[in-house]
Amino acid sequence: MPSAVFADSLPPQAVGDQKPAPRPPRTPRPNYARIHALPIPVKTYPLPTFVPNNPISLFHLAYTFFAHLLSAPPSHPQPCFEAYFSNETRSVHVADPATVRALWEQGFFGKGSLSRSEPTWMDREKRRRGLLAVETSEEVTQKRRAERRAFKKERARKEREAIEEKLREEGKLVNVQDGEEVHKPDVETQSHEGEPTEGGAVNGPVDALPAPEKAGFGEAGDAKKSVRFSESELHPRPLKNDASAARPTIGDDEPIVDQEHLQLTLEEALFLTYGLGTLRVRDEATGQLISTSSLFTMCRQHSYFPPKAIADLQPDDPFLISYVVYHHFRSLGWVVRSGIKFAVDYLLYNRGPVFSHAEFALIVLPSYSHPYWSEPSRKSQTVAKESKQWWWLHCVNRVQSQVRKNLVLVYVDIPPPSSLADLSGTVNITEALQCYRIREFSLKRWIPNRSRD
Amino acid sequence: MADADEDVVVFSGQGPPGEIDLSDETQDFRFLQNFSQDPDQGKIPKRGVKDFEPHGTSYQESVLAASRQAMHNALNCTRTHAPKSHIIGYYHPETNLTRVSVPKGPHFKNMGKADRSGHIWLLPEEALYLIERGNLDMRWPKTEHDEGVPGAEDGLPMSLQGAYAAIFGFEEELGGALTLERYLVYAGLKRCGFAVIRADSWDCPGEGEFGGGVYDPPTDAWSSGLLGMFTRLFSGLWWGKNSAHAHWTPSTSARKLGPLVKPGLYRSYNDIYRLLSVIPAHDPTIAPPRPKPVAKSDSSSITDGEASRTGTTDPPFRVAYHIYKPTPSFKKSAPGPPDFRIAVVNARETTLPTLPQIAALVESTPYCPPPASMHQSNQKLRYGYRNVVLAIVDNGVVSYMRIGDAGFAQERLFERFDAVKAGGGGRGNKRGGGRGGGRGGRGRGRGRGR
Repeated sequence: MPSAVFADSLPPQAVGDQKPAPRPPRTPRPNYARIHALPIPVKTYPLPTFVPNNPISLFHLAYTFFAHLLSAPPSHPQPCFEAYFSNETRSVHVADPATVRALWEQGFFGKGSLSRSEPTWMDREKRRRGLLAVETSEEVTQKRRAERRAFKKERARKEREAIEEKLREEGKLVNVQDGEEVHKPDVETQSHEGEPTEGGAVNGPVDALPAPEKAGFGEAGDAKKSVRFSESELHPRPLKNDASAARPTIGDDEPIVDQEHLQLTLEEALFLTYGLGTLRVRDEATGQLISTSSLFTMCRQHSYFPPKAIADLQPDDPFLISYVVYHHFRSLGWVVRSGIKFAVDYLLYNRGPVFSHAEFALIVLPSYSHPYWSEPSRKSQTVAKESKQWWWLHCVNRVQSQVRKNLVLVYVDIPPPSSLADLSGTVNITEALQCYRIREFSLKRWIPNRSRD
Repeated sequence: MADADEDVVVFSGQGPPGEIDLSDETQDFRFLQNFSQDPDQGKIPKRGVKDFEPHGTSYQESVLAASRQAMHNALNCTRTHAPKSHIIGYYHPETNLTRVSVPKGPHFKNMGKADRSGHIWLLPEEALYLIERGNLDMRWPKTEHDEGVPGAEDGLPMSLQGAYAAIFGFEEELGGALTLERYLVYAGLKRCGFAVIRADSWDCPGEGEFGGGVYDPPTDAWSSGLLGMFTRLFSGLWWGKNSAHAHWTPSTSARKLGPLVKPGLYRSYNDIYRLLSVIPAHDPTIAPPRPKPVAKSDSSSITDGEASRTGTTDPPFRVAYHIYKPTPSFKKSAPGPPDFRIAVVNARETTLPTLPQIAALVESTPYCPPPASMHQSNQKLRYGYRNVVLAIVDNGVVSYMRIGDAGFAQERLFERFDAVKAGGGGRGNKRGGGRGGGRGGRGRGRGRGR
């Protein structure tokens, strides 16, 4: 069928006569279950189980019990994790590599400042210099994208050929040269390629940073999306060759200095400090330790730009609302990460992003149901904050169904300021948080034709 | 690794066919050709591939022209009333109902209401739907003026436009509960084959299921088992010493500023996560208190905020229709519990519901917990403890959404952490093993457990 535009969701294998080349055997994946054994950076020491038909297990149990009684093993990391509050980025930075690893591995906290998610800049840099054989996840993604682009290009070519043939059949393409066709089907295909995260906004500039001459990353300079590719883009040279090629980059012989740090969002930082007690935050300029109560206040202030004065803080500070949601889902055992790439507030992972895709996408909605908020002087403001349009919800829901996540509306009931006010002198975070209430509603498109039987 | 692979999900996924949303496609109306030419030959039309832009081939143009022609032909058909099921109804402006004396055809199985004299009274949306279908010939009631007018022996016939104008015009005076949006939803669902009847909360707040009780007390799986008991005996001893960990009251100054989890010895993640649990969340297994708290034992615990939240339903966010899947055993006199409850909102006049609105709407439906056959917590969370369908009508385009009262607090993931640790990463092995062959359907072949 000449007008056939192959369905977008066809995997590369589906193209009839184009068989993918046999893949080299994959390097085995790391044992994520062992790496990420701890769900949070707090250790537990369960007593060994007592097996009734094995009397020795009773001794083992008793021994462990009394050993713990005499000298309790530490539950929290020793020494405590340290981080810096960064005013400029409104986030908390962790520089110590061991802490960075620990925070990532034990609960998936934070994001590498030069990576998309897991801090892997060091690995990528080593790999670029040919020091590391294991593929980094960014490379895997790039390969996959290159493959996909090649597939799309092939598809576009086939379509174009089919159309040309049809035109020739119909006698419309006799005098026109191949290169000067009036109709450009490849331009057409690019108009409907719905690839949400193509473009490598993060990867491009970041990877170009250490080596501005673009060390073989096929995508780095490819800001404009196009289906027409140059030869070099289609067949990116393997990275290894690049590194070993006679093209010494400046500084390649120098020892690698880790330029990456871990960025914790303010919610993550407060959860680690106030909730788990495994993190200490210092001021970036003075190096002074920030107490939990002042960190709480600072986070609230920094949810506005420029930061608000303490006196102007409200119970519906964006930080407070999002922290309430973050803490709630963390305390149920979910791994909560930002959902900005899917147009939502948070994503919920079961166990963590390395194990499975996120199941739920959260949208946080403030609710002003307390009578205080419906007083005439405040009514208009709260109504404006509560009102969201239906078309907006449809947009978000469509995105979620495309990436197979389930949309959840999380309503946070905001207490009146008076309930937070009695802690005027000393901040009581726990009591403040207990004034908020959460209610979740799961949303799904309902299709009558498929709900009938 | 992280969420690196998520952008690929949609492209590589060849999920179950149910996941592909056919309603997104534009239609090629050529399939109507088959119907308009020989109506007896019933063939299910097949959907084709999309055309996005004209590329200049005569073939494409001819396909488009044929498609248009088919649409015109289909619309061009003279709509006739089959004499077999031709019904005459008389419109009553006072009640906005239509009286049918001689009911014929299958539609009355789930439509209309009979009075004592054997006449069937059709609700306005039912009458309009039957007119649109070409079954009903609606007439103005006979008046003295019609005496002697030729052709008006049975009252003056009413046109389709007249029926719309009369039904929606007179509805205004009767409270205006039937809106065009509601009719569109009604007609759409009827055409899909559902039986649709008005809900009790059609034009009033409706009576939800209230009361302060717990529906089904959750059994604590943790407390069962002989081994668990023994282990807990020891942990209990330990707790006896450090009871500050296990039991706390909000007033303890220790918890004011955290950390909630103080350094110490913890036997299980259960203990840790219980300490972390601070923020009150809605518990869907507890029946909501009555809208106006009347001498309930637990009414003292209702704070100001809660009292205003569990109010009565707001007009747009009310269950309008009960929907029944088509079953031969359906009886309009005893329909039984509906399969779905649907509320209709106008997308141009309302915004997303506020918490009191959505809570009241959801709570006006009966408690419907996830069936026992559901074991995965994701499934349960999607299903919810109560559910309602919301039809959002945006300038005539209806989109449906199912809202479930999720109750995340009921699914405590942390209870599995201790098991994972004890099992020495057994789960991880299981998951990892599944992907040996590499290129599965999704991304890099990660299991998704679906």
